[in-house]
Amino acid sequence: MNRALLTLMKLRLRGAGRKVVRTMKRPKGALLVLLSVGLLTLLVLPSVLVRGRAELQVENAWFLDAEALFGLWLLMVVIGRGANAMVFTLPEVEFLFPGPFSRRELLAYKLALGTLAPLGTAAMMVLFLGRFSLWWPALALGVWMAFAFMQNTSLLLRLIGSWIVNLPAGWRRWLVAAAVGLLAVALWQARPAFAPELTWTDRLAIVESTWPARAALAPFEVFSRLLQTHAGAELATWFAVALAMNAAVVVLILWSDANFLEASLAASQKRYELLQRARRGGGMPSIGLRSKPRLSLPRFPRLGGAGPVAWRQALDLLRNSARLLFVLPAVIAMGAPAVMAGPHGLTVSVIVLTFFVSFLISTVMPLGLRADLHHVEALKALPVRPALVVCGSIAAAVLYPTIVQIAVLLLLTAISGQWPLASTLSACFVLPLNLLLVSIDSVLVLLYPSTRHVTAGDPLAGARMMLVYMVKYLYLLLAAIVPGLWIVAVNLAMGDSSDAIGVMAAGAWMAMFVEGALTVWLASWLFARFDPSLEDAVER
Amino acid sequence: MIQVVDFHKTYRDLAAVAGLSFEVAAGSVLGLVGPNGAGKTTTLRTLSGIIPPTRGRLIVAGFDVVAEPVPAKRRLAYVPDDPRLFDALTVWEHLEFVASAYDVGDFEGKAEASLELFELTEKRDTIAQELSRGMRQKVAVACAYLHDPQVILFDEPLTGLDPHGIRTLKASIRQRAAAGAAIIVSSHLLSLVEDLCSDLLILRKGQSLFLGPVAEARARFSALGQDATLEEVFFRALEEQGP
Repeated sequence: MNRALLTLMKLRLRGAGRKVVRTMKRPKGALLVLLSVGLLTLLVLPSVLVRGRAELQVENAWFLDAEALFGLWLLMVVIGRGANAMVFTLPEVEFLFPGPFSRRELLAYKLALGTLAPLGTAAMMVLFLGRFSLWWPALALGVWMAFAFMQNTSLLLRLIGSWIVNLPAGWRRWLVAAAVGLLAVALWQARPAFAPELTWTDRLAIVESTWPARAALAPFEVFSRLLQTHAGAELATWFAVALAMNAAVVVLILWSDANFLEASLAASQKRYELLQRARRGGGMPSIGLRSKPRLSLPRFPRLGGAGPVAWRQALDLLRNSARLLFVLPAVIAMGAPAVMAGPHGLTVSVIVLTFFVSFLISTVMPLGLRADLHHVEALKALPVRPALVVCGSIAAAVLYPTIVQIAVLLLLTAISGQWPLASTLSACFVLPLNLLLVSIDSVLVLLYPSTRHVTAGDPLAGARMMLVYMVKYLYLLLAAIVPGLWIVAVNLAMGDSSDAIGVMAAGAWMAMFVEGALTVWLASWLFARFDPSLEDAVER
Repeated sequence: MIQVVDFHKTYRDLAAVAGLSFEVAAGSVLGLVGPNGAGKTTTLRTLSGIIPPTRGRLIVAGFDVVAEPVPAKRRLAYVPDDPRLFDALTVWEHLEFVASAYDVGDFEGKAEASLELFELTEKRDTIAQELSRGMRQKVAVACAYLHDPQVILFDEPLTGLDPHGIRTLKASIRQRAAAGAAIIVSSHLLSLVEDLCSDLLILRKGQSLFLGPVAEARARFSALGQDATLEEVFFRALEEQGP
């Protein structure tokens, strides 16, 4: 590889290390590192404690099978991990593309990063999944080789795609016809699997026995064997085969030398815009759901200034993630019949699915003040009291998941034809639950100002993100104490009659709402004292 | 030093640049002006090898940027309109990397001088994430100058610079041109173009409306008189070509 590109890799590694050291020098940073180490220990402990029973655990390790690895690879191809491999950061575009580097050298640089990155994944896998492996070196090498292969083949497919796009139309037609023909042959081979009396397990077994499926699974069989090996000689053999396969893919990529720069530039620019939008608070970069900015909302009443703030965030959510309002209920509707037919029945399914929506939305989308982090200076400059700014920012963020949840409940009713008590209770409690989630997240972002999405080159970003989730859900547990005590007290005094349930629900709802309001007050107090100039995590 | 012949760049149905041809001799400074979407940045990015042309030849210091990209790039420097630096790297590490990329031996002296010129000496060990917009611009220019390029492409170079930075950058551009570099400055600041450039290229919708020395532009639009400002010339050129 080019010497300058190696220098760049070394400098960036040094920069990442320096960032950790600098973070640790600040009290908040040191606390973050300490908490991260503690969290990691807690997560790793189960692996260490059950090491003695490895053989029992290995039987459950279905995810080390070739089929599971193939499924993961397919997912990586579909969600565009190959494109990710081609995506250069904007500094890379601006320094490397006009720099004196050949396309092959730039590809080699990306390949080196793509091959080294799974080493981190392998280390994490050994820590977390050690109990599912008979021998940790096999697990580490297997994960490294498998992920590198998936990443590189995914990139190769993208490069082949770029090459095909640039072919003359006649050639393209022939290639499409060949692909369709191959698919038809594969389907023809698998036709016994379509017999109506078969179970899904039988169908899968039939498909796996066809030669196209065996050919597709063959490379992943190598990694599966490597992952599950427990002897030195066997390990050496399978590792050599895996390494040769990876080397072959790398050679193919470098040989193809496709002119990827423009496609990569477009992908890099798109990624940058998605990240910027995520940092501004809209959109879901991970799944790219975005609608055209044509949707609008009538202006909200001023309400001392809270109205316009809420209107702006509601508009942002609507324009950036409106499709989520339709897609998420639709996805849930598709899975709901299977869940409701399961052992837990309709009541539990209703509760689980509704609260899952809260969890999902608050996980994938920055809401409330986290979404407004990059507008905080503009918000503080508004002639509006800080408490009202915070109320406005939080109100829209609470209403958004609430509307999605109500839609989910209505869909479940339409599917099951029933409206159980659980639906009524869920419909009542989603509002205070969302209030608690968004308000505590706003408090946390004012204490640790950072957007949720991982920043490139920030090794502590992942730890920070995990800590935010942990603290948030710990807070929810604490917040459940008062409503829980109330429910227990009413149950002891009145039993579980329908009147008692009403009293329980009303009291618990009030308690949660008051707790949420107090958290909003805390966020307002912090917002009034927040100094954006002191917070270097607020990226400009 | 720079030669562009029948350059086209098309994005699906949109022709960003259509049949553009021009030359920039060593020691000349070409001002590239035009309304938004005229194709200025596309031209600079193609010349710098970031994006390929749809058609045409682009020669930098005798090398075709498509056929011989590496020798061409070795002789050019591109300063984008909003330079993005590597967040975790210090100012000095950026220079260190560029020196390594362009194989600049014994770069320390040059790098120190560049830092001093742009008042960056105190920021030498500051990480890029902590730099202001203007500082990032200065770092990008310092990196661009490090390998003494024969061709320098500036896209809106004054954005974010303080008055001292503006004066230093202008002086350095004049100095580089006097030393034989061919320079293209793309800018909406017509006063900057008037102040710095020997030649002018007015672009609109990817096509050239005028190409030639600045004085010739005044003569071409003689109705405005010889004292006409470049701003007046620019608007007259756009008006004459219609909507």
